[in-house]
Amino acid sequence: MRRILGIGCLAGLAAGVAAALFAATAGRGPIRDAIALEDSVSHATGGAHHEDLFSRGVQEIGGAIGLIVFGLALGVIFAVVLAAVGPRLVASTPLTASIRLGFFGFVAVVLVPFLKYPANPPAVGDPDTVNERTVLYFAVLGLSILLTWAVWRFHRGVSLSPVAKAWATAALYGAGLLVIFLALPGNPDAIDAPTDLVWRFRLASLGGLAAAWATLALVTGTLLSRPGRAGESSGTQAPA
Amino acid sequence: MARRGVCHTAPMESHALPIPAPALPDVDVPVWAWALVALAAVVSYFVMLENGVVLSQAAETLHEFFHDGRHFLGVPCH
Repeated sequence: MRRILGIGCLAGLAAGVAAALFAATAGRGPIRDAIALEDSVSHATGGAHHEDLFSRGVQEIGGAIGLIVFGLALGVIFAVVLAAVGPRLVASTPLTASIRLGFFGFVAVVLVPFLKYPANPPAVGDPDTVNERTVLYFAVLGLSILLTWAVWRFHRGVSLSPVAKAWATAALYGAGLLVIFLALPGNPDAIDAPTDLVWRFRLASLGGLAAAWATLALVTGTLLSRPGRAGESSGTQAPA
Repeated sequence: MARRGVCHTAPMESHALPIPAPALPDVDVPVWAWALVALAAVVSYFVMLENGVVLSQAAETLHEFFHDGRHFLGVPCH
């Protein structure tokens, strides 16, 4: 357990660095543009311009630190979940088990919430609705994880032929997703920023998170594939 | 999502004569590991979503410091 946790921490740090690199390259431009737009709008309307607590450069560093801290936390969670469900992931090597969990994790934790409430750059969000949006975001995140867990239990519990099982599992997941997407209301904010800017930011965000999850799964799987010390070896299979 | 991977690997397992070893050792996950997960979730919360619900004054500092990261993670923000 300690070994897998140590590996998870390392992999999480690597994932955080991957996300931070992505943010520093692809995410930097859209964020700067969005803030410039926000400032120009608040100047034009004569609105009170809130004094920034931190300069842009400090926020970029803070953002990178935040992503790395987040990556570390994600790595810990990933490692414990992998230890708990890993033996049941029907994978022949630790690397495939890790990649499989990483894929399902990315879809459940990132992709589904993103499809319902896509990421927005600064200047888009309305401060008055931030609590509502936070609740909605948590709702879609929680429901998505819950659905994945329920479908996984169904898949493990039901006795059907492999083909029927695959179709039944996919249908159940699709139906669950449909219910979640229809039950939750849309984003309450009107998006006034230019579509081009918003989507540049969204794709950078999604790409960064995909890079982070891929790094997390690959590094965890690779490190687990190395022969461990006695008692906590990673199975008798040859490393992938 | 469809877990088609299982169907994919099923024939492989039936061909292999020795029962395939589990990919990962079947370790018991101790309670402290789950406690660590809870701690990690709390840390994520402070990075991602703290808008002043739990901390009032320090929240703004924390919020602004991690601001870029929050947006990048796709969590709601003002």
